[in-house]
Amino acid sequence: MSLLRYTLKSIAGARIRFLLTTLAVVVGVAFTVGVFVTTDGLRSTFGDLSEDIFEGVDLSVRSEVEFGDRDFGAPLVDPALVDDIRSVDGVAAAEGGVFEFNVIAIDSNGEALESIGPPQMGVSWPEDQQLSQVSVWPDGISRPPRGGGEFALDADTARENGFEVGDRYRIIAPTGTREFTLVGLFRFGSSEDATVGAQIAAWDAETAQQVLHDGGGYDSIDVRLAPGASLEAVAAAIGAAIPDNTEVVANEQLVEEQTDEFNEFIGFFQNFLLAFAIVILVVSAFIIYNTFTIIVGQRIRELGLLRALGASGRQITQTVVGEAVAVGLVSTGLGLGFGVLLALGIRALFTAIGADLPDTPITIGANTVISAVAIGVGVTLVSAIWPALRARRIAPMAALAGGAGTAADIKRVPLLGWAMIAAGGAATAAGIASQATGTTVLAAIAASVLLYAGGSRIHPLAGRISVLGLGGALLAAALLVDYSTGDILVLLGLGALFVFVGMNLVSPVFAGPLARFLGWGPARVFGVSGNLSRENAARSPRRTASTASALMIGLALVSMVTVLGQSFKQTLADTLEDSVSADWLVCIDDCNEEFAAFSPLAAEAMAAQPELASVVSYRFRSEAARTAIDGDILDLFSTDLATLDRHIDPDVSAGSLTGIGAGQILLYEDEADDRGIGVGDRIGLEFIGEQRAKFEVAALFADNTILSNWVIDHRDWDRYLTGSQDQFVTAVTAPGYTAEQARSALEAVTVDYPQLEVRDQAEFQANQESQIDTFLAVVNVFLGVSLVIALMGIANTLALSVFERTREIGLLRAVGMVRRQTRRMIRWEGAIVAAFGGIMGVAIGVLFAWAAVIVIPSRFISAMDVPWATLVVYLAIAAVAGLIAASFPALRASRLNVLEAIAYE
Amino acid sequence: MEVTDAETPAADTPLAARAVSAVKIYGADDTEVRALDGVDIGFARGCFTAIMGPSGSGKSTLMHCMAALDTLTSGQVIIGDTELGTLGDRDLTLLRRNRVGFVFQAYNLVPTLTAMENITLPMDLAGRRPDKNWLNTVISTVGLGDRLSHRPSELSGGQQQRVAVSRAMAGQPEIIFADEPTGNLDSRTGTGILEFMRRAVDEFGQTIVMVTHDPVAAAHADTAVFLVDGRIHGELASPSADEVLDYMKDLGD
Ligand SMILES: Nc1ncnc2c1ncn2[C@@H]1O[C@H](COP(=O)(O)OP(=O)(O)OP(=O)(O)O)[C@@H](O)[C@H]1O
Ligand SMILES: [Mg+2]
Repeated sequence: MSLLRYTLKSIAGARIRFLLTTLAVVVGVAFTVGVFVTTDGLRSTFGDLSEDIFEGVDLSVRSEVEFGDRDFGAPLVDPALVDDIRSVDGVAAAEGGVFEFNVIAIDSNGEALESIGPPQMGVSWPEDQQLSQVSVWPDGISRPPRGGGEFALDADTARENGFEVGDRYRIIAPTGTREFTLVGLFRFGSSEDATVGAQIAAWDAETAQQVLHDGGGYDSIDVRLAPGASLEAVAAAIGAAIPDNTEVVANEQLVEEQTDEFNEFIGFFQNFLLAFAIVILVVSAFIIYNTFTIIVGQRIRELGLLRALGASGRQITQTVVGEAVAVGLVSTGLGLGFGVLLALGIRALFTAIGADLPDTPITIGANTVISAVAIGVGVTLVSAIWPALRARRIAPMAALAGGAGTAADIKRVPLLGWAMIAAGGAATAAGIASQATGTTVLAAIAASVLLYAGGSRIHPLAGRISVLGLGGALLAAALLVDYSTGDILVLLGLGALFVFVGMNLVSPVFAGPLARFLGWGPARVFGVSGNLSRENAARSPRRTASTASALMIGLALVSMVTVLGQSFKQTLADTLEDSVSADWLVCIDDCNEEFAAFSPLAAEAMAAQPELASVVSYRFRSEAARTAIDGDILDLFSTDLATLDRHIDPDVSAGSLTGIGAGQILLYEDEADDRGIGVGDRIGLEFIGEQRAKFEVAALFADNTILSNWVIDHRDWDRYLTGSQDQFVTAVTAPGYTAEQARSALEAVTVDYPQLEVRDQAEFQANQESQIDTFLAVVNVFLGVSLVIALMGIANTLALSVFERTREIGLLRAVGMVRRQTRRMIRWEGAIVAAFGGIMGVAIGVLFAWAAVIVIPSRFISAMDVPWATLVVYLAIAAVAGLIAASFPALRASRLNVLEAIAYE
Repeated sequence: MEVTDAETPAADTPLAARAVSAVKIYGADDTEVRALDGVDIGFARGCFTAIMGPSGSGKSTLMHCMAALDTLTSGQVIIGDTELGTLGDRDLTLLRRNRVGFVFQAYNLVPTLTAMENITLPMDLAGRRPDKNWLNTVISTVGLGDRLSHRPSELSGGQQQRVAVSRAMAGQPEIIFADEPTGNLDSRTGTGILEFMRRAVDEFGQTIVMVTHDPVAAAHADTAVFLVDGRIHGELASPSADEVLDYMKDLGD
């Protein structure tokens, strides 16, 4: 009790110190909470949406799909089945349901509606009111569409884009662009804005089937039961009435599948954000650890005195840990608050970019609170434990004599050391071999302790280097051994963490000399005060190193991302130069939507233009087929094989592209090697709709940057897969025509497809580069948060140093150092420390990027290109930021009262 | 809360504390300093002892080792009938907390605590309630009345030393070791503290061992022991200031 009071007193006695420590944790916790609250909200929203989508549908008949994504390419259901199902006892209503992506309305200005993420789709509007998830907008004039000339639009989209009921609009659909009369608005699901930003056009079932599926059938036949009918009995009866390749499923399963699909997406989003939260937490942990180490160091006299007065070692540990708990609790509380604010901010951001989230209340789930406490208190405690343990080993008189009493050196026991290192190595290997995330994490943590303790018994540096080595080993394992994506990410994260910790342990060795080297400039320019900055930065290498570590982490990640981005651009430029001979590239918006596709009529119309010598379109579908060889599920790519070589050079390594066509396949050489396939072999493929066919391997190719690994001809695609929309088109200018003429010819076609953009190679490259830049900017903004925290850490450490050196600063002032010089002294120390962290960070970042380039498949990045100038700019920014961060402690130092400072003990 | 387990000293032991062949060596080899070089000394219960000797003679070292703040290189320290060499860190801590009071040469107060909190700190650490009456007696004697809620940085050197003395006295330990408790005080305040210690010995049977350089201070003690080069040189019973001065002059020769 009294101990608690003592702890609280000691916190109250150093409020600024406490606040600075707290701040680092608050930001980490807030970020995590923000992520959780946002994704929980998304989950509940999309959970509701899943229910809305299937509201009123008791049973649904659809084709059976053994693999792949049924939304893309599943066979359609024969419309004739509707009557069979209606005649089943207990069926009150049965109707065909149609659903398709990439259905885009064109507004009255001729602009295709854009979406930044939520789907643009077309659906059927059921006649049976209860089977319908859409309901007429109560504006008095809206009504459901009937027949081939009418459509309806969701009310949100209509209002936002100025669509008027009664007017005619063009709609881009897989079967081409056609005009319809808008006869009504509707709302979707239970709440007004439940579409979550999606743009939905609706037709009656027959029209929808024609417009969206070219008369190929329905996606499903939805069934409503008669009152009192038994679900099981009706399902069984329908099951008996439908063909073998179709199935009947209940509402529950539909909702569940839909929710899983949404959750997968939300999970991805959540992991992306959490990755940043983790970075921020790790950076915060370094700062907190550093702060506690300094605080314990400063209080060593005081703690020694407590020991002398009868405080037990345990009580000493308790006060230090108690302070950590207090910091942890306060910051968790604040972090929760700021986290909710952050979540509100994220929601506002969503609204601003057009993805309205319905007004689900912000809920703070138990999970959120538990993670917040675990992180806030946990990170602080872990950071405080080592200093706390060190504190308890202080011998009272040694501590009182002036705080030199650091823990005694670890005894050298080489034999035991080697044994521990062997055990640590074995634990790492076993953990990696287990291929289980949890085991690997535990094994790595145990290994780190064994390696550090073992190495230290051989040589102090050996222990530290071992930890660095462990990090490297984990990274190498993640990159070189085959794991699931989740395991790779965990191993990468863990490996990076140990590399950072290892660097933190090793860097004191060279922090002194490097700081002296970096301080050469300030010392030359500013004389005594510059020289003091330099010496102060160099005199406690351990502190300089750990202060710089936080900055190192942030800058390492930023540098890595920058180098990867630059390498990515370089790869793109190389590809365009070496492999693309087409003059024009046509695609939707920025060519980056995996599912964005358009009618093949566009390519047909372009091919008909005399200004173009050749036009080829491309399609891609993931998990579209599986091989008869080994049952592997494949992503398929399709194009017009006969004319491909006029557009793209895939670097054929065996066979030839001449005379190639339907019934043949083009194979990436590694895939062929893996399976022992050669040119002329025949491979059986089973498509998503259970159709089977054999293909002759016509050629093998070596460059898969544009084509994916398995390439078939459009004619086969149309035969075996439904949904023959294109994803991009390339074109070659005909001889005798200028580029401008060719462009006009293309644009004459895209008038009907306003979502398409026509670009030549240079424009395409510029567009892709600007997208890469945008992505880099987003990532760097997130990482920037960690840099800001790191700078706060520098300010914090310097403030503590000023506190510690009060007497010394007082003396300097007493012998004639003016305030300006004092400020300069502290500020440049900040700059030197920051530059030191920057150099380590950039070095590690480039190394990480180098490793990544080796491992990332060459179709994404094949060339490493380091933007040295940018990295140097980063370093300069880091140093300047350090200078600025140090301003606050510098000001404090310069304002110290000289007499009081000297009397200070 | 910690359980108090102060052993009640066996009444038949006449000595509150003693050192047997106490040797303390600092450093090793060529930098070796024999701060204590075979000291045998006992402090009688209810007795006020002054330790004197030239600077560097090992006075502070002896105090630290006797008060369980430091360990001997060889020899024994016995408090009551407890041999310190046999105790582990935990028991040493409990002994410091419950049975020994210490006044440092430099006051060593905790800067974040007020004077009053500093005084009760050892008892707080032990989870023990201070004896209110005794506490008031101590405080009024050292004369800190209106400064109790101040932090050490707001107190003069003398006031800080008085807080330090009060801290040692407040828990009524078996024995108090004071390393130059009046070294930084003006003679009037110093005399006040010395008289207070004298009273504690006479009226309450407190055992006190005090290091001092001041013959006048030593004259308040029952015995003055002289330490030279880490060895006991001699002692004076009921010394007067003049006798002490003479003895010290002899040492100089
Ligand atoms: N921590 C230490 N390390 C090395 N030598 C020490 C240490 N503490 C004390 N000494 C040495 O031991 C000897 C005795 O020191 P001690 O502090 O006991 O002297 P003292 O009699 O209290 O002197 P003073 O009257 O000046 O306080 C001195 O020579 C001193 O230099
Ligand atoms: Mg001394």
